[in-house]
Amino acid sequence: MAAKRYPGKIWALVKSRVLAIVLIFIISTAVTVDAFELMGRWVPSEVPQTGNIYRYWWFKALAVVLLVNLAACTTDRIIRQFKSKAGFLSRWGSVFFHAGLAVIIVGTLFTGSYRAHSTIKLVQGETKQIPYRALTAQEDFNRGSGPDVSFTLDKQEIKFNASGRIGEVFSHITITDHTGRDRSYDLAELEQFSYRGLYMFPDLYGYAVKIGIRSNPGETESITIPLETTEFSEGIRSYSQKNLKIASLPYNFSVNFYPDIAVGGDAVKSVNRSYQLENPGLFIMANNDNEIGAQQVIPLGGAVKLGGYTLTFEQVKPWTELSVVYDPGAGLVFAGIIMAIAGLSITLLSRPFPAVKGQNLKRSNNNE
Amino acid sequence: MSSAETQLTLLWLSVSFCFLATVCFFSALSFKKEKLENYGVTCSHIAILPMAAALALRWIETGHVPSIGTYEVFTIYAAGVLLFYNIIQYWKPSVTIAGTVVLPVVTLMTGIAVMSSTELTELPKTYFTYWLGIHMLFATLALGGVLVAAGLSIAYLIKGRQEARGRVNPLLKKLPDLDRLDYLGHRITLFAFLMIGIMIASGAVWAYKSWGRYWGWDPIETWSLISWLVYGLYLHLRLTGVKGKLASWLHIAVVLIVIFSFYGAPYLYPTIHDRFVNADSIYLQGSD
Repeated sequence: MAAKRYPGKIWALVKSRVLAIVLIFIISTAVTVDAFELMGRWVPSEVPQTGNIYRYWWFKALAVVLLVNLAACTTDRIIRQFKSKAGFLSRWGSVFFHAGLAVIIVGTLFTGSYRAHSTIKLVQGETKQIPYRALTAQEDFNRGSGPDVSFTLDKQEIKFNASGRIGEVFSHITITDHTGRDRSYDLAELEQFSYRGLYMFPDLYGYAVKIGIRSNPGETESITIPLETTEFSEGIRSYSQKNLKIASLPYNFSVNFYPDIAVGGDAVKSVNRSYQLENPGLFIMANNDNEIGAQQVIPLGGAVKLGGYTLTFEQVKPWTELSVVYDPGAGLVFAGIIMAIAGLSITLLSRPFPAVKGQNLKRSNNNE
Repeated sequence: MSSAETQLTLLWLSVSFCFLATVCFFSALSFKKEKLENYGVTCSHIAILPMAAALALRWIETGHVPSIGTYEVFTIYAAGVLLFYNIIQYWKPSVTIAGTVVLPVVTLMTGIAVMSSTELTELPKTYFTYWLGIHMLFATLALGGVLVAAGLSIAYLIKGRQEARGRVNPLLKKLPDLDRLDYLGHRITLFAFLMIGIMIASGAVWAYKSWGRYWGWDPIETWSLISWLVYGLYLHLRLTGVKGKLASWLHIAVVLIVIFSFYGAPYLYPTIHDRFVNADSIYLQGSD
C-alpha cells in the first residue's frame, strides 16, 4: 500500500504550487544576488561574461526542476479541465501560460547547449570558404571539416544622406555550397536572412587596404588587411589595425586609414567623420625592437621606404561583416513567448480571476 | 521659438497641472472633500494634453520613438503612466484614489525630464526599428499598472487600518469594500505582470534581430527578469491564500523592486541600455 502511495505523493509534490513558489524564490534570489555582485565589474561589450550564475550546473538544474514542475502542473490542469464540467476559460489561459513557460525553458536549454555565434568578414570581391560544421559548432574542437560553404561579397553600396553621413549600407552577398546553386542576397545593415538553419545579418562594415611589399632583390607580394572599425558617437569612426605582423617583414605595424585626408603632413588624427573615399590616406607606423622604422602618411598609390623594403598603398576595398547565428532554441523560445502571452491575456480578459476563484467556485457548485 | 523650447514650455505647463492635481488629491484626503478629488482628476486630464504634444514634437524632431536619454525616457514614462491612469480612472472610477500615488510620481518624472538636457545625438542603427516603440509602449503600460496597483494597495492598507479603528475618511469610505479593493488591485497587478512580460519579450525579439541573441544577461535585462519573477512569486503566493493586508505589504515590496529596475539599475551599471539614461554614452555590441 505504501509503495502505491509514493508515486501519488511524488506527483502531488512535483505539480504543487508550493514547489513552484520555492523554485521561483530560489531562482529570483540567486539572480538578484548575481545582479548585485556584477554591479562593479560588468563590461557591456563582453556578453556573456564569466561569473554569471546561469553558467553553473546548479542553476541549470534549478531550471530543469522548474521545467518538470511546470510540465506536471500543466498536465494536471489539462486533465482537470477535461474532467471538469465547468471549464473556466481563465484556467485554459493558465494552462497555455504555464505550457508557454515550459516551452521557453526548453528553448533556453537548447540555446545554452547548441547556440553558436560567429562572424565572417568579407572583403569586396573576395570569397571565403568555411565548413558548414564550423558555423554550427559551439567549440573550436568540434569544428572539424565538412562540406564548405562559400561566401562572396560581390559589392558593397553606400547611400549617403543629405548631410553627407551614411544613410544605408547595402551588401550584395552570394552563398554557394556543395549543391552548386548560387544564392544571392541584397542586404541592408541588420537585415536578416536564413540559410540552412543559420540566421545571418550584416552587422558591421569598414575598409580593407591592400599593401604591396617589394624587397630589394625584386620580390613582390601583396597583402589585404581588413581594418577594425571603431564607432564613436556623432558618426565618428576610426579604421585601424594595431600590432600587425607580416611574415616576410621584420617589423610590427600599426596602420590607420582615412577615407578623406589632405595628405601632406604627418597624420595626427585617429578618427574621422567621412566614409566617402575622397582623398584616401594611410598612416603607417612600423617599429622593430622599440625603434621606429617608419611613420608616414601616404596617399593611394604612394609608397614608403622601410629598410630594404618598399611598401605601396595599392588599393582600398570595403568589407562587410556577416554575423552568423546557429540557435536551435530561439524558435522554441519565441513560440513559448507567444503561448505564454496568449495564455496570460486569456486569464486577464476572462473570469473568474484567482482572487475570487473560491467564491465563483462556490457559486458554480450551487448552480449545479 | 525652437522645437526644444516649445517642448519645455509644454512640459512646464504639464508639470504645473500634475502638481495641482497632486495638491488636490492630498487636500481631498486631508480635508475630506470629494470635490477636490474631482478637481485633481480634471487637472490630470488636462496635464496629458501638453505632455502628449511635447512628446509628439520630440518624435517628429528625432524621427524615432522618444526613448533616449533622461529627458525622453522620463517624458514618455510620465505620459504613459498618466494616460494609463486617466483611461483606467475613466473606465473604473473606483480606482480614482490611486491618483494620490500616481500623480506625485508623474510630477516628479516630468520635473526630472524638464531639468534634463534636450540635446539630440546620433543613434546606432539598432534603434531605428518599430520594436523600440513596442518595447517602450509596454514598459510605460507596465509602469502605469504597477503604480496604479501600488496606489490601490496603499489605499487598502489605510482603509483597513481606519476601519479597524472605526473612523474611516469619507473619501476612503466611498471606495469599494476591502475585498473588492483587494480584487481590483489583483487584476491590475495581473495586467502589470502581463505588460512586464511583453516588455521583456519584445526586448528579446529586438535583441535577437539586432545582435543575434535574445538574452544576454545584461544587468537591465536581468533586473526586468527579477521584477517579473517577484511578480510571479507574489501572484503564486496569492493563489495559496495570501490576501488582504499581507498581500498589500508584499505588493508594495514588489513595486519597490520594479521601480528600482526601472529607475535605479540603469544608473548603477554600464549596460547596453545606457542610452535610456545617458544620451551621450554608447555601447555597441560587435564593435570595438
